[in-house]
Amino acid sequence: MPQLPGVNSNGASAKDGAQTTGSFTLKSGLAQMAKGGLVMDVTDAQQARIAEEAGACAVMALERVPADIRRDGGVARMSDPKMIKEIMAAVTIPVMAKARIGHFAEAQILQALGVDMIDESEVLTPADPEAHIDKSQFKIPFVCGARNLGEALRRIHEGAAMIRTKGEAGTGNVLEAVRHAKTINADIMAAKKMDDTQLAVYAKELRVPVELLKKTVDMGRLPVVNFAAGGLATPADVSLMMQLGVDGVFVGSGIFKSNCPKKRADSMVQAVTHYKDPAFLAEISEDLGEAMVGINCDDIKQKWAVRESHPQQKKA
Amino acid sequence: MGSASTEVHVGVLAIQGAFAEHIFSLQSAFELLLATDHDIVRGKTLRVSEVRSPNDLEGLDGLVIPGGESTTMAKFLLRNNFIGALRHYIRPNDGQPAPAVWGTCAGLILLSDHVLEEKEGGQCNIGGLPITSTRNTYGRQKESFEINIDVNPILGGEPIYNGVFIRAPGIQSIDSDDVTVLASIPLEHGAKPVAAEKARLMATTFHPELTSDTRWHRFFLLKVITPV
Repeated sequence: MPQLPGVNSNGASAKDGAQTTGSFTLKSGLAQMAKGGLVMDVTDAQQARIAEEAGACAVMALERVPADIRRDGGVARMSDPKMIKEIMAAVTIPVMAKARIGHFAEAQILQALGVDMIDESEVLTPADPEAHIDKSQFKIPFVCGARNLGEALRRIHEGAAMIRTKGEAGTGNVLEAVRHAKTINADIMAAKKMDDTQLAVYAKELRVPVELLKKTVDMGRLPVVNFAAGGLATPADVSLMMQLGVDGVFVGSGIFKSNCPKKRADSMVQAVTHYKDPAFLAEISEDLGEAMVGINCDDIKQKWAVRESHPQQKKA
Repeated sequence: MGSASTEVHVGVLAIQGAFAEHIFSLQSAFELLLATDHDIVRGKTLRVSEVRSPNDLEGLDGLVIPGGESTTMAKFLLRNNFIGALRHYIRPNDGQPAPAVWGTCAGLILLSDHVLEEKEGGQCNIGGLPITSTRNTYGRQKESFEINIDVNPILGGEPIYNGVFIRAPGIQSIDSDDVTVLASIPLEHGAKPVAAEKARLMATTFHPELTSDTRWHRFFLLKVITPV
């Protein structure tokens, strides 16, 4: 029988009579409750309500959707706390917000605001050239982007409770999300064929503890919930990613940059649950109006997916 | 492999949320029941399937409504009168025996007869359990907690259990004498009921599917199998 991510098998149980908060079981548990769901980028309370009405399982509060960050250029930072608070007040579903890679002070502020999950995101301008946030220090869960198994396990080792593909956000092009999901799957398949000695070498190459790699091999999947993100624009994109084995999806610019956001939001949410039913997908894909225009990944000036901070980048 | 009479068929509502975790826990629980040679399960097999549309309810001996986002699930249930099909499944009026149904977290909200602070138009309930509940009773994610809860002896095993409460709902009141409280937060933390049952329906505000202790799933399976 396959194991499932996050099911606690050791430790992490409540001490006698005491109440435990911020445990990894609780953090990964929130991600598990999002499974089979769609997390939608929203920039104000009204969009948040549209997302909730459509059946989104959470919203990502941010000032500018990735497509606008690309258009505007400049440094992209954590959103205005006021706008995040307005969104938190507008909906009952979980609210996520983004912090810059390595910017633990932004993450502390978001935790103080009471957001339900933090996305340490390559969509914002990285703040630390060497390190990501030490996520194990926080009481609330983090989701982080990954392009391959090594990157995913490095983030999990730092304390991430959830992984998503990086894709190429703000492009409306699903190509990179597909690449990342398939690479993670292929890396795990390759690791499953290795013996203990080979796994030790591979773990070293990936810069992760061998125990974490072995756990992944045993489970045959990432040991935390894994979503698709970055460039999904249609119900078919959602179905494609779900069939590649992800647990749910993030949709950013794809909804509110299309010309019929409410309807598109509705149909993309339906697509996550009914991804195996092409006849139903045909029905809900009808007459959605134009999707966001989209950008070919080869034409973009800045590839966000390559943003990962690690010590090796340090210049002498 | 079991014939129709020996196969126990349980469905897990698979709209959104932790349905895969419940399927895994049900299978583990059943294996443990078989391994301990429990009389009621001897010679039986378990089939667990995902329920995504009203047709999937056909022939199920029991149903689990998992945790997830209750607003998300409600949205799906309002399409194609899925909600009507569920109400009919839970309370059959055609002489069929009532199935065993278990709701966790969001599932408890859906099974509650009353939900306080209901948002206008956005929600719908299946109902059936005469309790009054509230969403996100303890607050946001940073207030999520684990605690040892006091368990009713009818569950068997240890009198305490590690309850995992994630943005959990609360049971504000038990509205009928035929409801049994199955677990409570300990006295020093307020003694609130966190699990309840009435006949074939049960509900928990916490997440047994996120722990490796399968006693809640075993309790539910025995309820499914035991004839009314």
